[in-house]
Amino acid sequence: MEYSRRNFIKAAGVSAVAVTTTVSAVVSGTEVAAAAPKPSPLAIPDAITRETSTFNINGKNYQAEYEVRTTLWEVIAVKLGLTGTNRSCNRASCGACSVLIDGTPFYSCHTLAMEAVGKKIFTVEGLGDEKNLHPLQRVAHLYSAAECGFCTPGWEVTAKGLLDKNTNPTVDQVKAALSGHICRCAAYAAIVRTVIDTGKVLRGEAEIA
Amino acid sequence: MSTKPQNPQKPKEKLESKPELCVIVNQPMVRDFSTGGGHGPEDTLVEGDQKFVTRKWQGYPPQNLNLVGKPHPPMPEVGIPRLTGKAEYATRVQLPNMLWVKLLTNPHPRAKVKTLDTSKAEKMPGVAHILTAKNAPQTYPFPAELFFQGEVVAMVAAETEDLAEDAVAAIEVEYEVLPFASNLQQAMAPNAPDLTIRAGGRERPSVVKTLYEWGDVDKAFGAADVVKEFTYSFSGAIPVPLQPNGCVAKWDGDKLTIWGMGQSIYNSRNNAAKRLGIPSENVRFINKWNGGSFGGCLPTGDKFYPWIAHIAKVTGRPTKLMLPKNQELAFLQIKPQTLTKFKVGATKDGKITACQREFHVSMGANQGGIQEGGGGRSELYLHVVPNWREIGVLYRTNAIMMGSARSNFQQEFKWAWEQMIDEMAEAVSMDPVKFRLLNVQKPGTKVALKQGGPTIVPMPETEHGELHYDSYASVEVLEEGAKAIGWEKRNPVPGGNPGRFKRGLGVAMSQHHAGRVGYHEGEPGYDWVLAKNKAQGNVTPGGEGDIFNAELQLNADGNVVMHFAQPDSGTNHGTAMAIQVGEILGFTTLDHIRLIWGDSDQAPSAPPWHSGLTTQLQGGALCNAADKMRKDLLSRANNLLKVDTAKLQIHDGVISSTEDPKKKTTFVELVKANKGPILQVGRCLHPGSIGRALNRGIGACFAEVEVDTWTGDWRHVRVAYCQDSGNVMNPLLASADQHGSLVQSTGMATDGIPWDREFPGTFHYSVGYLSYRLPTIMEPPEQTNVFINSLEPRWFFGSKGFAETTIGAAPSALANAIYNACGVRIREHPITKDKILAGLRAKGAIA
Repeated sequence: MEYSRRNFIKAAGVSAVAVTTTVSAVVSGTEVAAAAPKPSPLAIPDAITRETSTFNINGKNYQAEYEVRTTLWEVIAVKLGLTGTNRSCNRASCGACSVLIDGTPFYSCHTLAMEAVGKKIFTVEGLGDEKNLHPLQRVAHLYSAAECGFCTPGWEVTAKGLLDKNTNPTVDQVKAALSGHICRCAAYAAIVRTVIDTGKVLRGEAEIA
Repeated sequence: MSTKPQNPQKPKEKLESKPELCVIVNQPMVRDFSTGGGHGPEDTLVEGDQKFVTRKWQGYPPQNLNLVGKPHPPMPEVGIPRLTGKAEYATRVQLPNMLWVKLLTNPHPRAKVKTLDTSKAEKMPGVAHILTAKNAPQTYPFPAELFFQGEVVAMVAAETEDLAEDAVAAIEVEYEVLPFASNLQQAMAPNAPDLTIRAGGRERPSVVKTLYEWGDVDKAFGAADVVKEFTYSFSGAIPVPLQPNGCVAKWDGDKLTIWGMGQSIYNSRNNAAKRLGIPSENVRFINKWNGGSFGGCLPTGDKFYPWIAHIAKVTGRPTKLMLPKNQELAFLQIKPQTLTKFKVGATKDGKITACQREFHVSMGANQGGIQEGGGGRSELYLHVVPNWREIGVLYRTNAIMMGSARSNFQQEFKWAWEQMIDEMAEAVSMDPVKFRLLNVQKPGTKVALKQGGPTIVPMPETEHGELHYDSYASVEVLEEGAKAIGWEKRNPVPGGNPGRFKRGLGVAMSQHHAGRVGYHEGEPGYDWVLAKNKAQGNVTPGGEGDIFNAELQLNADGNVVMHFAQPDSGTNHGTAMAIQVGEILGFTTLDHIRLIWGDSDQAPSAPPWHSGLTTQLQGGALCNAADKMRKDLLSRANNLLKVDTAKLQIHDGVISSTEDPKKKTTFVELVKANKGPILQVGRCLHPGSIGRALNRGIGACFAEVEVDTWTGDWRHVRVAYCQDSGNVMNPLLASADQHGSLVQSTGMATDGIPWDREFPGTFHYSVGYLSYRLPTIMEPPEQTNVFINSLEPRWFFGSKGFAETTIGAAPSALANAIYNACGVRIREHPITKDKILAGLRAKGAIA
């Protein structure tokens, strides 16, 4: 069978939904738990069962109605209109759609929306806008670390996740952290340099000309 | 987060916009070659049968420059939105009440639809419309025959992507599978099916053969000291831009807006309008940013815009297509599968005397007739080959259309050619760099067109006029590259280094139509090309022809706004063009330049961009407008200040007398006096294949690899990537571009198109990132970019196009380096560890 997200979700339905049910219960308590469908012996709700949840994105709460099978990317970019996060391969291979969930990078095309309920989601919109750029964005511009820019929001949030934990990463640590991001323009050298030098700015050892 | 300095005693490092590992070599402005040609201190060049006079550097010589040649980050209006998630890719356009389209595609290499039942799918939840051959617009029908795996069979528009996919799965379709030839082996087989296209009273044959000859090849083989034969194959390669192809279409009454993805604004708009049977002016086409395009996207969007717009019309709702990666590839252009056979003769002291090349190319589902493999002959521009025969056999195949994919006819042809050159060097016991220096076309060589194809010889005058390669850095790219990589330390014996991990150096060259420059309005060549195009009927509707238009607007705030059509695919050509416009207008920063681009409502018409020529052609139009504006402003200042224009200078928006700086005015004052913005238009055109189109660029790629002779694993350690760059406008962004050029070409060396597992004998076109390995951050080598500024005397500031020059050389440079490292020659693409290991076993290097 050809690999696709849909086939994956069909095949992995059991575990995915098991995680989901737990998460939902934590978030909205007995109400959701009580609404969990019983007919199936495995307690798997129909894939197009609707849910309504609150998503905490970049510190703000958003409410969205979505199907159980809906991905986090679709909720963020389509339902909530936070279009900064790009989806490319839709099969968890390229990293373009990455967002941070509780500080850890996730491919949002392969994360079910319900898995992120009750957690802190961070997207490129949280990094900085044109009036208030994050040092990472300023250095990236200086070094032209974004060429076509399509992979950029993905690696930027991953790099932010790395720098939040370690403002002084080695080149190898930067490469390891970003190895899940494909940049077809191959700005890789500039990306590594950007993350390393942003660390210097965050540590107060360098300033942007 | 704390930003408190941890080392307060240490001064802060200043981060600046500078490229890393970048060597710029400036050549003198006056060139005189022992090989003939060159140009002296005179102000003009006189060329061709027409004796066209060119003012050198168009009056803007490469000296005393403030902006050109300095590193600049991308213009903020282009570059910053990429970093904030606000660049408006078509995929980012979300409109209220929008429908999503999903495709049902053909799983067979070649088939016809026997029966198609959409009744179940139509009743599925959320489905708004299903488009098939039955209800497609008559002006733009679905394909009658499904000529390749992945061709579109039906399109479903629904409320969400998931609901559309549910409905696609519910469509029942029966195919009649037809005989197919989906790769070169099948197309070359004696029982290959006839894929001739007969339509509209025209017949487009299945196989096209071409033959070109120059000199007396057979006689030259007889006289040669060394005659060798070689066979090489290339298994194809794909571009894979990151942004999924597609579009959004929205109607307001009879006005249509399309947000697209591609390399043109006006061609796409006009094609869509024609296919929908509506006037072009009713279509607004917007495409400002692309998530890459790499040439591969040239035909993709255009194919779908009319259907998506049709669905939007029928349903009365905005409609969006975002092709999934496993379907998108079928609609891109790819590098073709090729098979090349050489017979080459040389003297014992290393001069190539004769070359017969026979190449076979799988052209894919090219419906519009088979393109000639003309690009393949660019190798004959690369080296001096006095006698040659070129046999081309081009097969229509049930495969993805071949075409430009990070250049056209480059990597796939140089793979064979530049390995052949390496093997010939070895056959005459010469160092590969010395062998190339001996045989490469030198500056001063004249190039001309002869009937039947390009011929390259030290030429007499010809019917079409000739050009000198006088800004052609063929020797310098070799010499400077050799210096940068440390060629003198190269192990002279293949596999001769001791130990398990063996390093090796390899070189390959590449030469392409990059290097061309155009003609701008006001030059006699401009009218000459236009008249020629007109005589041949090559004028697009509206008389736009191949003209790149541009507008410059000087506003009351002193800002200069550049209007041009070209979408930006990460190419950052807007920045390179702003540098030139700013330089012409006397700015020392880019702070007062603004860009408006990528929207047919806001930018004048232009053909698609391609071949790395945007900065030359679209930029030529802008330079033309800037030159007019400079003259206009000086003339206004002259009227106001009563100072001769020759004694006026412009500096950052202030025009002053060189003799009396108190006599001055400003751009702002001149705009005020004009009672409105000051406007200028500029035009430039691509000469096609005549005149300045014969100009060439050249490059060399020097690669160092390390082979693990126990496992066959290898890695790319270092590279010196050398360009004949004319005059590099912006070393920062040019270096960034060359990184992509090398890394993508390296990917093309190591990954062919995988075979299909379900349909043995056909290529696997459901290629996602899982089955086609794309280079990651772990892989790129240490790359030194070497720019040889050869100062092209025909163009503003000595610039020339070079984005697609060295790109063709990387795969063969790697193959040559691997040979040098371990003695294994890989003639069958792609390079894999299995082949290296098998080669090592075959020569007894390992058990």
